[in-house]
Amino acid sequence: MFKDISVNNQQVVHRDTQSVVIRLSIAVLMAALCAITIYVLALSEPAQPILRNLALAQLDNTGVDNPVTAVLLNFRSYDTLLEIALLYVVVLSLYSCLFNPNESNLPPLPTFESHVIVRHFLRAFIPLIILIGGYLLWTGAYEPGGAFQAGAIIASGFIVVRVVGEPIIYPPWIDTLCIALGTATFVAVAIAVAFFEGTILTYPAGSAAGLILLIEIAATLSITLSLYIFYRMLGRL
Amino acid sequence: MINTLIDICLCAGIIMIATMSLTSQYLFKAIVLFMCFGILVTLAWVRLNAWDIAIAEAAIGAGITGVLLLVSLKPNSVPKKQTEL
Repeated sequence: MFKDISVNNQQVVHRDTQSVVIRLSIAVLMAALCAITIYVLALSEPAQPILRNLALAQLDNTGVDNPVTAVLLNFRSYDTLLEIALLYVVVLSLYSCLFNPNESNLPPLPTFESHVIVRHFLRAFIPLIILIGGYLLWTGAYEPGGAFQAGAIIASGFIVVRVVGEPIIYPPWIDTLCIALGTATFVAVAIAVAFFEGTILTYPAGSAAGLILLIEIAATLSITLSLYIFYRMLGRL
Repeated sequence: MINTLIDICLCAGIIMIATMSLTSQYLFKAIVLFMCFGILVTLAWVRLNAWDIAIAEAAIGAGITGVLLLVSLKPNSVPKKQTEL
């Protein structure tokens, strides 16, 4: 695959050297565009924070204290739902492209022995990583943090274990369950609140904090497993 | 004053690292530069007071994306001149 790409690159480079004029004119145009943008930005008045004031005024009703989490999971939760669904679709397509039913569903065993110091270091390190992930998930309601950050950090812990050559063994149904869990929980909550409030994703007063936490926990599991599956499946290419 | 200086250095560094990564002849070098780019962008988000995005960028942009790129680079039969630094 890369041979084709490198051959194509050489052809492209060869063609481009013949058209220095086009490249120069593009460079000049881009420089002019950048200069005009900076000039306009420097001259224009700072934007009036109308939406920010509206959002901050409603912050007490959102169930969380962190404005970013309030926007992500309350004001604009439809966007976040679509983001998580997007991740779900990507993992599904990657899984269906690279999953081999003839192989064992478990991750392949490492091909080398890890050093004893690395193994003992990991034994202390991995619980700490999971603890940090849980902290980020919980603190997302009050301070910077949240499901994406927590999921990414726990997944990086898993990847560290795989990189040093240790197996991570768990039953294969956890994969299937956790991939779907984030989207399924989000959609279930969205439809369930529609019965009480009439529109989807409008949390009933008082229950917003619990529902947001439920969605975030499910999304964290889903994101963790999705990123870890990216790593595993790409390693199999 | 010192903050402006930091911002200017950060912007120049980001553009420089991005250019180096895009124009690098070797894929491995390009990936490592891309991870450095992620770290610098993290610092830029911190300077913009966007701590949420800074954490996500450090974990996903600098960490996991780099690992994914490296792991998808490794097993392919890349021409040797592209894997050497």
